Amino acid sequence: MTAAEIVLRKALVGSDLDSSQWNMVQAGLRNRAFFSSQVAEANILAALREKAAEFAERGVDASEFRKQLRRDLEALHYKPKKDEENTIKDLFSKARLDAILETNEAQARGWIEHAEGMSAGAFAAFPAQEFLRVENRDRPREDWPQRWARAGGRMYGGRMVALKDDPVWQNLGDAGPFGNPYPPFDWGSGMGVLDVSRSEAVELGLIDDAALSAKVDEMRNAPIPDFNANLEATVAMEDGSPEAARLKGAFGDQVRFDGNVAHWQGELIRDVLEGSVRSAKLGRGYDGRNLSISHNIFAEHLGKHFGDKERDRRNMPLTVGDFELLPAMWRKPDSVAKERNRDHLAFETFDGGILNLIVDPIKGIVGLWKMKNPKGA
Amino acid sequence: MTIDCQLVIPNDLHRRFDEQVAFEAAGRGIFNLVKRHLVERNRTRPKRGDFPHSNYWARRKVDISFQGRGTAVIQVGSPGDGVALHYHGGIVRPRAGHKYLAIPADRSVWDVKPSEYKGKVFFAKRKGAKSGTLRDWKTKKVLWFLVPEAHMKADKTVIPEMRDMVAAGQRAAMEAMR
Repeated sequence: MTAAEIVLRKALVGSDLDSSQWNMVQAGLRNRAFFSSQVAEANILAALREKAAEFAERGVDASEFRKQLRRDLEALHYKPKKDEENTIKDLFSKARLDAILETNEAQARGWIEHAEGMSAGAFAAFPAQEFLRVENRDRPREDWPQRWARAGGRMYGGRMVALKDDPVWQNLGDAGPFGNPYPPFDWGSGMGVLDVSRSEAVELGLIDDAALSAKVDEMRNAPIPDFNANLEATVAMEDGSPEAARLKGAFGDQVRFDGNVAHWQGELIRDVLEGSVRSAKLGRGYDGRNLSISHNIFAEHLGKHFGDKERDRRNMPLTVGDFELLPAMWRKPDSVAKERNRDHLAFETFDGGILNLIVDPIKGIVGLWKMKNPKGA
Repeated sequence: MTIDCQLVIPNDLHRRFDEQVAFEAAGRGIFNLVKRHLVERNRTRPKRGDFPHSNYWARRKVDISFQGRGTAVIQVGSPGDGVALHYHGGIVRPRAGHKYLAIPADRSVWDVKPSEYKGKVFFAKRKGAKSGTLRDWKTKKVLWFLVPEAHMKADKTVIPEMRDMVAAGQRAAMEAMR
C-alpha cells in the first residue's frame, strides 16, 4: 500500500467538532477518518484528502499544493469567518494547510514503516526500536521522557528502547491525538523511531534468542498487518449504548453499526463499490427518506461514466471519491429540481464538476453522473 | 534517486531458512542504514540563518524492494525532490516560462513561492546584474533573491557507500537467521 492509498483509504467525515472534541472519539474510528477540525462539508474534505494523498506520495513543493488547495476551496465557496482569518482556524492559512498536508503524510509513512518493520524477517533482525528525535525543531517538546515513562516505557542508559510489539507504543499513541502505535505521536512532533538490531536487543535484555525465534515463527504464518487490523478491537460497542449514542449525536448518519462494531459510512460505501458488501444506506436525506445504494448501481454508473468510456465532452468521469460524496449530497444537496415525479439533485465538487443524482420515489437511484460546472471551478 | 545493490546471501543461510525472511531482513537492514544516515545528516546540517529547519533529509522517503535474486532496488526520495541532484550535482534552472529561481530571503516567506504570497511585491535589479530581488511593496523588505540559475556540487555522501549498504543487508539477514 502506498502513502497516497493510505490517505485515500480514510473515510470522509464532516463535523463541527474541534480537535479537542475529536480527541475524545475512539482512536480506531479517528484513525480511519479523514477529518479536519470544524470542517463539516464533505466536498471540502474531499478536496483536502485528494491533495493530502498526492502530497504524501511526493512530499515536496508544499507551496504548490497549498496554492492548488486554496483554488479548490475558493471553487467550493469556502470563506473563513471574519475573526478567524489568518489563524489556524482559517483553511486558507499556511499553518492550517501545512498541518493537514504534513500530518497526513507523516501518518501514512509512519504506518508503512511500522507495517514493513513487523514482517517476520524485519522483526527477526530488528525486534526492537528506539524512540528518539529524528527532526529538528525550533522549540522541541522536552517532556518526551516523562510521556515515555507514563506509557510504561523503560530507559536503557538514557535511551528509550522497547520491543516493536511492546504495549508502550500503543500507550504512547493513545496518550496523544492520533492513537497510533507509530509516529507521529503528537501534532508537529519531530520524534520518531529507528530500529534496534537483534544482538543489541538481546544485550539490553529486551528478549532472548529462544523467545524471539518463537515470535518470528508465529509471524511467518501471519499476514502482514492490515490498515484495519485493530478496528474491531478498538471500536466495539453496542448500538444503543451511551457511547454509540454520543457518536451518533456527533456524526449522525456518517457512523453506522454493523453488529457491535462502529464503521464510517465512507468505509461501507467503499465496501459496496469493491463488491464485498451488497448495499449501504445513504441515511436520511433532504426529504427525510432513507436511500440505499447497491453494488449493481455502482457497477452500472461506473460503466457509463468512467475513464475512456466517457463520450459526452461535458461529462466528467466518476471517481471513487465521488461515490463517497453521495451521503453528503443526499443529506444536503446544493440544488433540487423536480423532473416529472423524480428528483434531480446537484452537488458541486472541488474539481470543477457537478455531481447529479436522479432519484425515483419507487426505484431509488436511476441516474448518476458528473458534468463540468458551467460556472467554472 | 534509485540505486541497484547486489546482495549475496550465503548459501548455508538459504539452505536453513526461507528466502523471503532473508530478503525481508536484508531489505530492512539497508533501509535502517539509509534512514539512520539521513537522520544523522539532517541533525548535523546547519540551518540557514534564522529560518526554520527544513528537515529535508529526515523527510526523504526510503524504499527498498527486491528484483529477482539478490538485487535490492534502493529508492531514496521521490522523483523530482532533488536527492539525485544533490548526489550527482548539476545546475538548477527555472521552469519553462520563468526567468528566475526565487530563494527566500526572509523568514516570513520560508517555504513560500512568490506566486503564493498574498501581498504586493516589486522586482528590483541593478543595471547589468544577472540577479535581482523581490521586495514587499509596502515595507520594501527583501523577500526573495532572484537568480537565473543555481549550481549544486556533487555530494556522494548523500547516501551511505554501496559497500556499507551491501554489508548492512547481509548482516541483517545473518541476524535474522541466527
